[in-house]
Amino acid sequence: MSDTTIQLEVFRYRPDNGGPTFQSYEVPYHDDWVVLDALNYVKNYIDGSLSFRWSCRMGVCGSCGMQVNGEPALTCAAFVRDHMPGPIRVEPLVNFPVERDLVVDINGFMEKLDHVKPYLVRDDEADDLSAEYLQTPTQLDRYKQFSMCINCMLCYAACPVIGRVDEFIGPAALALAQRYNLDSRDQGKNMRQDVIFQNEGIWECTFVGECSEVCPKHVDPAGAIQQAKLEGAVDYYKRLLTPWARRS
Amino acid sequence: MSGRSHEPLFWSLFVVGSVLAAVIVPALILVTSVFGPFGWRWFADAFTHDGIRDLLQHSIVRLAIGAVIALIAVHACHRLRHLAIDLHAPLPAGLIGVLAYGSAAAVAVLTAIFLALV
Amino acid sequence: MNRPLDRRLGWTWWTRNGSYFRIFLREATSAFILAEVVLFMLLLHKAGQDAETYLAYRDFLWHPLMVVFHLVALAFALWHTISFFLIAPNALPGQVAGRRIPAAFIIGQQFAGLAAVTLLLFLWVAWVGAT
Ligand code: SF4
Ligand code: FES
Repeated sequence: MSDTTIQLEVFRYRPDNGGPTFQSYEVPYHDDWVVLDALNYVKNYIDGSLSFRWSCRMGVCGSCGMQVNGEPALTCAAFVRDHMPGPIRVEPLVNFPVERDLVVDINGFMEKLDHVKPYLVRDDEADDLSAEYLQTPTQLDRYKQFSMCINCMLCYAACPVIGRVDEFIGPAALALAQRYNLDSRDQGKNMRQDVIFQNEGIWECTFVGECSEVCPKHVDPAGAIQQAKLEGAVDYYKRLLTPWARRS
Repeated sequence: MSGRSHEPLFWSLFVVGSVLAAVIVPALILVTSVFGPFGWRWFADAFTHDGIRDLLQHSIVRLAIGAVIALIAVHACHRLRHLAIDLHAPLPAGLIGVLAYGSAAAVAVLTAIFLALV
Repeated sequence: MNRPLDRRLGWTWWTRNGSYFRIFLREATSAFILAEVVLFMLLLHKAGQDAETYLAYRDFLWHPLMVVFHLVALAFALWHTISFFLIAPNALPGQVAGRRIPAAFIIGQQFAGLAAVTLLLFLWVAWVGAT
């Protein structure tokens, strides 16, 4: 074990014990430790009452997102060495209601994901459940980037519009809507667009772009939203000019 | 929720205005307000009373200037509207909208009148 | 009891870090662009009046203090131009007719367009001034 240590300043909140406070912990420094390792050291050896979420510790499950020195980050991918000599301030993701310590309430986010029907929608699904829908590499390439999301919600913590409008569907869910709308096998575009072409869909967004900056998977939700705006504008004028056309 | 938005109407004009502002405004500022006072003869002479009337002589030029100014005004006012909203301006959103697009419309209409009177 | 804590970003979000602040400046370019458009609109207004009125306004527009303002406005206008050109590749569909367009190509095309329009405007005004 190394002699060097680093200071963690951890956000503590227990609803029954008054307002939030910061608690400092001294943890050993290791070159290859990530912030999540330091938090687990606290939990295992110093203070078992600290609550936080994590699972895969390899940037796949998306459950370990927190504010690290003020920026949203996956704590399993944020190296302690990048924040030397410290201290490192660890807080729950902003914009989300805090349940306890570093644990935030994700129910609102889950509902927003639900709104955009993040799955392939087929009109003919009932007819033949064993049907195969082939796709060329070019067709895959149209949406692949938007399908890399791990639902870590860092983009929601980075978005000033989420902080202002609770109902704003937000970066990840809108990127996911675009991911399915661009999928050649999908037939649910019109239903999704009824949702995302509302004010609380894409139109609250002012392209601050910070969601794409913090995204650990390079999904570029900001780009997805602007592309949807372009489609939304074309669709708007189509509806305006051909009001008689029937749309399902 | 609220049904499909009418924002595309304003947003599409905003985008067209954004492109025009991006390629034209730097040159516009330089030509009308920087080169002349810095003593660049040709540009100073283009903005004598006769000079500017020569510049605005053709109706196609006046039409183009009117359209460009109107769209850039929409661009700027739309962006100011959203900036006000993103800074949580303590005004009703509808009022901010009326103020913003009202200003843009005023600039567009006045520019058209002034161009017609040159 | 379950009493979740509210930690939403407030209206000061743009002071949190450098990239937020650059976006704030990008949005603020609109104030300077609007100001220059209004000043130009008034120049058109004065052009329709007699020479004396016109020149009085032009001299105000060309006053050294106003020139300082124009240079600041120019810096903001250029920030709009640059930021707009740089994000355009992300805002456009990834594929056109099944092909990916390289971002550098889109950005290059836009700057070429800017150069062409600027040059044409310079030549036109200089031509009218010189003849
Ligand atoms: S879009 Fe990126 S930042 Fe947002 S939830 Fe998905 S992976 Fe996380
Ligand atoms: S623990 Fe799974 S993404 Fe960090």
